[in-house]
Amino acid sequence: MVSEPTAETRPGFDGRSKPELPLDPAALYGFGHLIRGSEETLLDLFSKGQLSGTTHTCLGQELCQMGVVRALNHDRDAIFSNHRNHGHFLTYSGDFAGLFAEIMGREAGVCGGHGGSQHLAYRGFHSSGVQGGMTAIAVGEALARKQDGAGGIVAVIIGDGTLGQGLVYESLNLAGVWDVPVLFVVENNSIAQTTPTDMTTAGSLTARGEAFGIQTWRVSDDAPDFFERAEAAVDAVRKTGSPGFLVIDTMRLGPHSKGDDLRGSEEMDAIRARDPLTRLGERLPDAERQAIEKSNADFLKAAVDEAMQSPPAQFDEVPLHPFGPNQPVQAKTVQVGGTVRQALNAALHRMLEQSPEVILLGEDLHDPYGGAFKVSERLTTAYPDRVLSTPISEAGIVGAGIGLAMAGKRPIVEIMFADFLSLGMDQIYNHAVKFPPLFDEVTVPLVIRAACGGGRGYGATHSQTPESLCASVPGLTVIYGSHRHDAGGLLENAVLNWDHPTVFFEHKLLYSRPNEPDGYKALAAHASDPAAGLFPTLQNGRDEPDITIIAYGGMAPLVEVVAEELEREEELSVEIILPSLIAPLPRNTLIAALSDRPRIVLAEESPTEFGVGAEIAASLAEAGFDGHILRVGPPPVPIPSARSLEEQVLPDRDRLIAEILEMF
Amino acid sequence: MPRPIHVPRINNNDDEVKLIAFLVSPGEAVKSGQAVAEVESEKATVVVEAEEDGFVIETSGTQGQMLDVGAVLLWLGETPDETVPQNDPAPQSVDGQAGTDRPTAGALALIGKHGLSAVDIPAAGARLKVSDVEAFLSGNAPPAEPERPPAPQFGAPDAGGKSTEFSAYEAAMLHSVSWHAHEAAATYLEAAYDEADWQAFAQGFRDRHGLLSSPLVPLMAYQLVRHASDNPDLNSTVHNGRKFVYDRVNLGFTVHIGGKLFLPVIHEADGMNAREFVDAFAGLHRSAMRGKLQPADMKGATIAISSMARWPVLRHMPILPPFVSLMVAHSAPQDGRSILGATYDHRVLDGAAAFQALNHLTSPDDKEITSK
Ligand SMILES: Cc1ncc(C[n+]2csc(CCOP(=O)(O)OP(=O)(O)O)c2C)c(N)n1
Ligand SMILES: [Mg+2]
Repeated sequence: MVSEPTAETRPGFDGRSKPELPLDPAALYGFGHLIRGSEETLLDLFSKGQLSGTTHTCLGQELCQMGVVRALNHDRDAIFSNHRNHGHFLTYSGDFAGLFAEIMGREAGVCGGHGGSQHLAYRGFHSSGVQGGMTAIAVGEALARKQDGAGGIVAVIIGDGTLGQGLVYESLNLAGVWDVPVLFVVENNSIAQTTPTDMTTAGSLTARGEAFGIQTWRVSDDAPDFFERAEAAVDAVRKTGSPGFLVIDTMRLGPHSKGDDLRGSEEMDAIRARDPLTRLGERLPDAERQAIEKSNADFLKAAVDEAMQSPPAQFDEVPLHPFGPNQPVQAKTVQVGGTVRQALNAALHRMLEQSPEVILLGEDLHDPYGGAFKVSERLTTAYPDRVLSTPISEAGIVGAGIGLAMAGKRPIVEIMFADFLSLGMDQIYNHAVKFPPLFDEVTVPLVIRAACGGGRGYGATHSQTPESLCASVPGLTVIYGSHRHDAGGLLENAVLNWDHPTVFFEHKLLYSRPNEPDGYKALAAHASDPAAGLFPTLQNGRDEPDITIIAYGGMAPLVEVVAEELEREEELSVEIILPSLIAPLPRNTLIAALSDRPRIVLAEESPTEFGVGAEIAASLAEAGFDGHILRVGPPPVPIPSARSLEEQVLPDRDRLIAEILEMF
Repeated sequence: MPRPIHVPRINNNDDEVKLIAFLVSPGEAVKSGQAVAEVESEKATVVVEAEEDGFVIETSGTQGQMLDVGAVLLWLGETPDETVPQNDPAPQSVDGQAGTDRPTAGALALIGKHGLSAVDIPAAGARLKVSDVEAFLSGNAPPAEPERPPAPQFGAPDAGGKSTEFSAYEAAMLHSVSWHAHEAAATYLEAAYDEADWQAFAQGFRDRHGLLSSPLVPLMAYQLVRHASDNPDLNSTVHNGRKFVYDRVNLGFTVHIGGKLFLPVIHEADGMNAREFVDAFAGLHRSAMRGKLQPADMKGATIAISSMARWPVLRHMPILPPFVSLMVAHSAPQDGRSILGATYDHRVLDGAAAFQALNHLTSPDDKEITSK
């Protein structure tokens, strides 16, 4: 039976539900031809200067891009795609006008113009422009599917050039170890931008999946049964609940992006001769094919017109931050007594018990070890399905955390030493913080806990606190409490009451300190400071202080000793200010409390250059502060291992006192 | 010799453990393997055992106290009356806090707030405190003795300008150089010499002691100290119309920083050996470079030296500091020729005495320098 592909018979192509594509040549050719027409339309608009930015078309790969997506028909199926995503997106959404409007930067774009060609989101579909960056996120989302047991699988699609990317292998490993329903799809067009991938890929493609014990297939998009075999791979992952690895051989007919193609005419002739879409069309009677093509042209013209009618995307008001308005903060009963480590451990136990969405990932968490610093002890025994001891795979577990969060979980990822956050940084910097502002319906309530700080002689790669690095990531919340804060309460607020990606620093030397408020009071949170109420800034009450020391995290006990000495020996009144929220900086809270102070010292354990103290000082200066400001912290050098050397690099009591006295 | 038993590490990541109890007390005899103390971490309680027979000499820590892992828990001796070795390095004093007579920071804050100068305010104790400043402010304190009469003024300057207070450091130079105009009969003479011997000697000293820079000027200054110690007339002044011979030799030397001149003073230099003196010299120089000299560091010179070897000047005539009768001037050699000069107070020293002192300095006296 041949269905007539007119606009009326394509109710699914309006972007409101997934197009149904039966396995018949007319329907498949009709849709493939529509994708090709869309890509050609886009290139045409670009060449006429009616579009700006960038785009990567799937010319020649239309059937390849349709194959897997077409078969993903469960309403909980999810797709993670890449820069070359139009075919995936259209097959999943049928929203042609939405895609055009998005690339044109119009209000009616699927992401309101925020995403553009490479960053599309639509229900379970998400794409992004960092090669391989979505793979771990897909595995995390698949883990959530497995835990929920409500069906649905995840497909993550990469190009063959992306097999050079390390995260791909972390993701394959995690998928194998966790045995989750994720299908890795490699679109093997033998080229990456301008580089033939035989220059960049060692060994065998399929052995890559097999090496991780993952069911692996290789099909070609010009095979007569291509759609059946792609569907079979999807079904196998769905049926087994285990990961799959599918290589699809295909050919890129167009340039990488626009006009960037170095391939010679002979090669291009061969690719044209192979072109599976044209071959599929040739199987239809001429009249039928021409009717389809005519109706497609009309359809596309209407879709372009519709997109053009939408006004250019515009902010009503450029947002000052991505966090939205503050929610009222619920008073908590502060748990006192015990050490910081015990407080954090108790909070983890409470959250896992009370909130089924809470999941903890990290290295060496299993009992009786309980994590390198024992903060997570007795958890794997109590919650074996939700507290997972992971491979050494920082980027992978941070990415998986993002996927879990996108799937509605409240993941916590423990990083053994904060120094290793750098390995997960792309996941944080390019993915976690960018999805919520770019993609309307996405939140990433992910908390990354990291044991940090020096003073233990662990050396250059196990002693740092990259809070400045993290605080400079737009949209990343950075919390770094002290032993004077309600440590467990901070963690609970971060995990349960704050919906944004967050790094939660825990100084190693604070773990065994008593967790006691000791007379500190919270500064009144300024209403315009996001999260300032959830993560308070503490103050030891002093009237008319001679000097104010702002410090956080592991510096808190040190500045207390310094303050005590300055009060005793130097007759000074010393105010201590302990923020727990580093970013977004509780700027107006600090300014309101401190702008009339005569002297402010910013005591930092991390290098002062380009540091958090600099940001605080700049904020105060901009607000008209005219007292004396001093930063005391280490120089920008590695933290040495020998205790005696480390003591010389990190600020200590004597140095703080000496430098503070020079203010007088 | 008593031997220590250290606080054990219980968990990898805990640097402190809690002392539950000592199971022995000082004076008690213990056997190898005997439990001597109990300590605990969050994870476990551990009994500390003696590794050999002996007597408990000393225990450190009280019940419930957190002890640093690796610190000494108790000392065990072969007899009950041995003493614990005291070779712990003395706690370092904080740079910049060294002078005990530095005002408290609280006092300085108050002084700054009221635009006062610390030198004007008398201190009741060793350090100037907030209470001293408050007393001074409330007029209860006797007015501080002005250091010297204000310089006479002869009308207003002819050209326009604005009048400002001297900063503390500027005032220090003003007072040093103004003084002799009224209080000494300053005279100058010089002698020529070949500096090669000094250079060789300073180089040898530098190599022997592994110093970073040549100690030529400090060593010359030290030889001056030794010479002055042997010739008390060089180390004397006029005070209230009487000759005043100093007990100790305090050597002042000039430091030029940021267009200002300072005269830090090495006190009781005659009691030092050459190395101690060179170190003291370098230490004060460093403080001066960092702007950390305290007023006390610049007081009490009895003899002085000034080097302008950094600049290509052939000679310079130093101004005598207050109550100093001899100040030696050192310059860099020019065309193989070197000149040492001396400004001296002719009321106390005659030309011959000044020349002898200079002449004594034209070559290094190994014996004199290294005798101490
Ligand atoms: C991490 C990263 N590196 C480089 C790029 C730039 N870039 C975009 S697409 C591309 C080629 C990708 O080749 P392949 O994975 O084979 O996908 P294809 O374009 O062939 O579909 C490159 C290098 C990028 N987007 N991300
Ligand atoms: Mg490719």
